[in-house]
Amino acid sequence: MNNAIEIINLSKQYEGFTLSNISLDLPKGCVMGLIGENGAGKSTIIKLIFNSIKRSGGSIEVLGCDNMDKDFEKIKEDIGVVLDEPCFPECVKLKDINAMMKNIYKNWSSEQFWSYCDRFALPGNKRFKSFSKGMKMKASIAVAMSHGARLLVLDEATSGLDPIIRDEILDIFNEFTRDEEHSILVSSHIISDLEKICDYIAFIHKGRLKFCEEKDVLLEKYLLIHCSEEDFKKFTRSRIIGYKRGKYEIEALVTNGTVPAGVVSERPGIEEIMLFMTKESV
Amino acid sequence: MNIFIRNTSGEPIYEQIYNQIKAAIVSGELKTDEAIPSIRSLAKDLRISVITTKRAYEELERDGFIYTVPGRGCFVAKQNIAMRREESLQKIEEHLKIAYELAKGCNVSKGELVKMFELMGEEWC
Amino acid sequence: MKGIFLKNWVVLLSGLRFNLVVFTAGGLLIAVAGQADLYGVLICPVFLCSMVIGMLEYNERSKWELYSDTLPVGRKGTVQGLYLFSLSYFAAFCVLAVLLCAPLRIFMPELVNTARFVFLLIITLSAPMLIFSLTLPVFFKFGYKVFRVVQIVIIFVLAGVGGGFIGVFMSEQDEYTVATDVLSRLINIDFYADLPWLIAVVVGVIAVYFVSMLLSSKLYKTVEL
Repeated sequence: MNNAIEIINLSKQYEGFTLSNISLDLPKGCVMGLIGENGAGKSTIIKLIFNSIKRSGGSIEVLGCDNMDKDFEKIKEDIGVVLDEPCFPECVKLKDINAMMKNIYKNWSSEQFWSYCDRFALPGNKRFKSFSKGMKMKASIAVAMSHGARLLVLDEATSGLDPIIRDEILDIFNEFTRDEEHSILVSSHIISDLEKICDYIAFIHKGRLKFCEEKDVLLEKYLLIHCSEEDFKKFTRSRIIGYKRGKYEIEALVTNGTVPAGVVSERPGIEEIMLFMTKESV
Repeated sequence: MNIFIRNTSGEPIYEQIYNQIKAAIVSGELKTDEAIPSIRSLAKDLRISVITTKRAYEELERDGFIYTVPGRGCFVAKQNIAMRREESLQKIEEHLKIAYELAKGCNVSKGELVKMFELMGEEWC
Repeated sequence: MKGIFLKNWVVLLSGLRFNLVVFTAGGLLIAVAGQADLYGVLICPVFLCSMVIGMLEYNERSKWELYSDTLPVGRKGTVQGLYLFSLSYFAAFCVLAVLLCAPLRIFMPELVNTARFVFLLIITLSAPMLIFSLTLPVFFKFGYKVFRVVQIVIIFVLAGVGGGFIGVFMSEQDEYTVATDVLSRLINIDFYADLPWLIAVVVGVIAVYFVSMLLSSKLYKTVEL
């Protein structure tokens, strides 16, 4: 088993929205970022991975097991999950969470859980409802990391958190993948976070997969140019991915290559690649 | 060994790693057969993608700067100093050729060219 | 299954602790039911159901359902965990009632009529189980919001209003005497003569409960979250 997650030709039909032809592979030991606008289908893909909703077509294999197989329930022991809403009942305290999860996961480690709670400075005597959003997320992360998981699936796990906490949490995910058997699938709006730790980036737009690439290859594929209308015409159409017409200049994303003299070019970030890809081409 | 990654320099990160490790080896800061961090641990320590460090290491190995022992890690390869010198001399000769052609093309005399070179030399030392 | 079963208990105990006080009061009420109005004691089944529903409310508010689908529990485990939790909760209540009643019976025998006590205990166990047998499949198939509506309809409309209507209606008919005959017959059961059909009722209710559990398992398997 070389891939932690293997998705082939996945599709899901809803009224008014279709996810189609999604094929992704998350190799073991790697971090893949899932990006896309709200409603693009990222959370749908994650629900499909857990079989919480039934796929219309295609196949999904997680840690070597088809997710519609009977054995998939056992595989969930090895998957740590953090969803975008912290999901523990508001009346519980940390010791209740420990008591609950101890009987749910075979490899639950109370020591590890408490050590994460200490590291995150989570209050042991307050009820979950009085935790701040950051603390709730940290508690969910502590749970996801305390049962010997080999795969982490994070759905918007860092949105709503301040940069300091996010940095701390990214460190923890970074540490998690020091072990080459550990993999992470993370979906996020905060692209700057993904740019730091991801090995692969998959971009979902309106239910379709725009690309799934190695992050470094992706960043070298394109150039962001600023130029005049005339210089813009010098680019062959096939090179232009998307452009924005401003008052004083045209800003465009083009494939890497030679650039006419006088045109300012720079390396785009993932966010810019994403934005220009969703604009209409010439 | 210190490695500094600059995200804004425009130079691809794997190139930065390649160049810095190469410099450390060539300067002697890293000795022959000395162990260098594994691909994975370097990536995690620098907080970058494993694929990036893998690429840098593959190029370093291809160019003869390091070698890998499966299961043990990566180590500095024995550098043939004389060979490196020879390679560098060749490269210098190529660049000088280009400068010479350019000078000829716009009527810069040999004397002027030598003076330019000497001035540059002063800036270096 | 065990995980969810214990999880439900943890949430109940941590979130609804004050209700345990009422729990105890309810137990006492049932213990001295010989003097209390039969209708008033029907509050106990409602109370028991609402405790479990309170726990389901916590789950709903915290969006636990989607998360639990990512746990190594399975849809069947979730269903069984809830059914068995509810059953164990109702059983615990009965045990508590018996524990409270026993000393009273010994020291103040005039306060406790054993036959009536057993009968009321059976109603207190059976009524919630029957109500849940009908409504939990709705919960699993259609979700919490629909379940709440159905639950309220069944409990208040049928038990409360229905009972009231029958009383008003009956008082103006000759059937009134029949109804009171039936009620007084029920209240004054002869424990030893009626034991066989009491046991039949209990076994029947438990059977219906487990059939409902199987149905819920089947329904929940195909639900999309």
